[in-house]
Amino acid sequence: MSTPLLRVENLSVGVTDPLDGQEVVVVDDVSFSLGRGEVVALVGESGSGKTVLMRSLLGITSAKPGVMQGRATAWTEEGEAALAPRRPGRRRSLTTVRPGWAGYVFQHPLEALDPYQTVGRQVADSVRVARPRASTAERRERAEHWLAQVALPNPRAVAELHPHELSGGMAQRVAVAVALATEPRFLVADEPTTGLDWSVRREVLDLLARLQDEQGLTLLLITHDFAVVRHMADRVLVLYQGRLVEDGPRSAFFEPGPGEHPYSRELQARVLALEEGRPPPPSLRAPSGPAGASCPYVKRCARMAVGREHDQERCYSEVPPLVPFGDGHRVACFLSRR
Amino acid sequence: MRLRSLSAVLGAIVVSILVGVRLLALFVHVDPAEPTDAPLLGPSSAHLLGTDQLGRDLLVRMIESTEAFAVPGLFAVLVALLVGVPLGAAIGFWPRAKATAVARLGLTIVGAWPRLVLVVVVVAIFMVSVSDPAEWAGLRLYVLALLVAISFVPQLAQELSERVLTFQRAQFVEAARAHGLPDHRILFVHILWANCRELVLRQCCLLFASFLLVETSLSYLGDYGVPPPRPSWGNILSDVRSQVIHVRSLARPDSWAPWDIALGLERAINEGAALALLAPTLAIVVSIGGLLALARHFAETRG
Amino acid sequence: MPALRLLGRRALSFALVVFVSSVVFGGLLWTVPGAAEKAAETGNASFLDWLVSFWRGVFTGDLGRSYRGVPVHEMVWRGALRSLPLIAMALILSLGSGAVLVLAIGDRLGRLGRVLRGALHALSLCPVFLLGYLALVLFAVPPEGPRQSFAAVVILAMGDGMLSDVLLGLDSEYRRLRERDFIQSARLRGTSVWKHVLAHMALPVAQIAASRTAWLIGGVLVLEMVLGIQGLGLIGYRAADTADLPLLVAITVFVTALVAGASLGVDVLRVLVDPRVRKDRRDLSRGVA
Repeated sequence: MSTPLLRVENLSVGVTDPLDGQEVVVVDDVSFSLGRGEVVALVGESGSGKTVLMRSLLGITSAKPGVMQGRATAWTEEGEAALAPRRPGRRRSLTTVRPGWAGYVFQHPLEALDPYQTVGRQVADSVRVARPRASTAERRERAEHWLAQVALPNPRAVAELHPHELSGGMAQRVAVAVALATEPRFLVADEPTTGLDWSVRREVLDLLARLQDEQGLTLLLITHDFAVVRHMADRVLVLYQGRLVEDGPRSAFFEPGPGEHPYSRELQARVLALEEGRPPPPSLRAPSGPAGASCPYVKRCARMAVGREHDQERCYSEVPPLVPFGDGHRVACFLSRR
Repeated sequence: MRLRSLSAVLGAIVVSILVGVRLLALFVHVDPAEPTDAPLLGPSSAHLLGTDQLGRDLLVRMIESTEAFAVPGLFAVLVALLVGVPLGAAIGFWPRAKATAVARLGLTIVGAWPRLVLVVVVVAIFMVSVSDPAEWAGLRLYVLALLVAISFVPQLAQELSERVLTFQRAQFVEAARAHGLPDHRILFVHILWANCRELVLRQCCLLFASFLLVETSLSYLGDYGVPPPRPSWGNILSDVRSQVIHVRSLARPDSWAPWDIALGLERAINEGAALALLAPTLAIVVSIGGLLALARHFAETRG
Repeated sequence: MPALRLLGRRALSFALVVFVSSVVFGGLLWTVPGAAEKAAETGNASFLDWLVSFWRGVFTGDLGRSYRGVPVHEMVWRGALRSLPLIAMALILSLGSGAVLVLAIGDRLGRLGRVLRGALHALSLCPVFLLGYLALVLFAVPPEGPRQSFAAVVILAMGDGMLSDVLLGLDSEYRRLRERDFIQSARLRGTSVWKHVLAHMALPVAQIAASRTAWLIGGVLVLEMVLGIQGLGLIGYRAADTADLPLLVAITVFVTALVAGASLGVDVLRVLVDPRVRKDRRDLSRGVA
């Protein structure tokens, strides 16, 4: 792997359920690391904790932050920095490393822009973070540069617009420009293509790929869309019920074999069935909440029918750890074979 | 969750105490206006809260005071419901109708009248217009209630119409329409009853609290509230004003030793009608607090 | 220009509110026995004549004389000079302390903060007359002077649920605001969050202030009676007592204009801060694409 940028060790996030006040573990003991310049896709079904994982890592939590445990370390230009909270519940986020070190492209671009300010001012605000000494004119010029970078036609005119005057695709590009103008080393894009139509979707993806290449960014894509994964990702992280169940190169993820996680198989089978117009494979409903001391996937697992007796008992009594499976590939399944 | 149930319990306790006291008053056959003993007695077994400056039993007067707001307050709630709910529902359900614009303007106009100003002006006119004010004194509280209700209608109708409007555009209403359900059924059953109940109940609590506030305020000021010698928490306070100033001098002892303070307090209660200050104050604050807590409970039972 | 159309509509509604109020209250007072005769003495034979002369008076600044013989505009002016500063200061005090409690302190004080807020809510439950009464009998507020004005402002800022309303309103607005993605985005990027917060809180603050104006006027009426302040409320209350038609109509119309003006002010502010009202979407994006 290349030079490391971010390492997350045993990160757990608990959120208090507003209805009954109970603590729910949303992210459970997740460890992974990202190399500089990598493009990584974080996939998993809705509610698997993808967004919560990245948001709490970056400190973009809601009013009541969840309880965080574990460690995260980032390597910046200035050196190494520990990110994880010292005390549970205490907010300490990546912003303390260097303002603007990390960028986040939000799921709903219009929500991520202040409706009262012009687009140009919001981008210029970001520019100020990266270049605190720049004059107002320089900042404006730089803001227009970023708007041009995200392939907006006539950036000078766009800078004068307010967010409500933008179309969905334009707003998404502006949101990317706002995130990039702080000159981050690490960019998280939270479902950057949902809500966009197919032609714009492709453009936004190409844009992200080009910028990632030019800026040497580390890009983490949170996505449902396998086209995005196939198109862009170097590596895939699969999250299931808050646990990381597979972490491997794209090729390993898309190649069917005994080594992969059965959940990854199921995800792909569903997408494939959808693309080819076949009915989706039958599935058991996911059990709600963490499964306790068993594999979280055990009740849906297709391998339970064909595996060996000895191993299947372990699936019910132990949580499978994430174990290395060859070159940079890790799988959390007792039944996976080389 | 905890806060919500706490406010519900608080509100329920206060409202049931109010209802209980009001029912108790029906069985008390002591005329609250007649002196029964020496003035300004301290608490005793004959007079649990002592007597006021005219020798009237304070507890009886406190209990009888509920008469001043219980029925008129409910009357105000009834009037506001009868006017406000249809108005709000219609404005929300037919937002584009011409009549809606007129109704909105009317509500804006009434909404711009400060409640107390409206009440004072109209009650003053009522008093000047009737030939024998003393004879109409009983009706005065209902005029008061009517005015408070009218001035409350804009608030009720506004909140209700906003809620109805959001539901009028909701998917399930579209679906009900597509199934051929008639408008009135959608409006009454699916919107008003199923989804606006708590909102209306909340407004009722607020209106009752508001009426209590106006009634005690005006009774305290004297001319437009409960006509003396009938009691109200407001006029009990104003009756003992000069005694209460005496209380202050009694309750402020020369030395701050605990027994001196205790002695001062005892004298204040026994000689200076401290209870006549304390009882109505607590009654007003607890009643309004309980009603608002209940209102808050209704506000939080639905998103 | 949608903004101008909106403001025009609101200004029209403001004018209508004030005018209709003058008709309603004038008409009500006209029914008082003896009112018509007294109006006839000043040359207004019918209600319509009276209404015309009233509105002419509003614009010329001469509203005739009250039944006591004092020029009405002078009395209204004198009362307003006492009452309006009280209302304004009470609004500032209430909103200011609410803003400090919600924005600056927030959840930081933990349990102490919750106790403090609970105490303020409980105090705020008290009706204005009760607070005024307690201040009078327990703290011996003098019949005039700065100490009295101070007490009046504090009581108005608290009583009749004023501070409660302000606290709850600001709190829910701020909670909703700071969960929004653009605030989170500003926090992550390290840009100024306060710029966004202040811009987005201005309108809710103004709305709370406008919605409490009517309450405050009621509070001023009562408090001036209790403390004996020679303001608009006391003058109005006495005028009501004697059914003094010219004075009472002038005061009620003035007060109504105040309340309606406050909500007009909110609309002006909305146009100023919110570009979604200010500009029409279609006009502008055409120019870009």
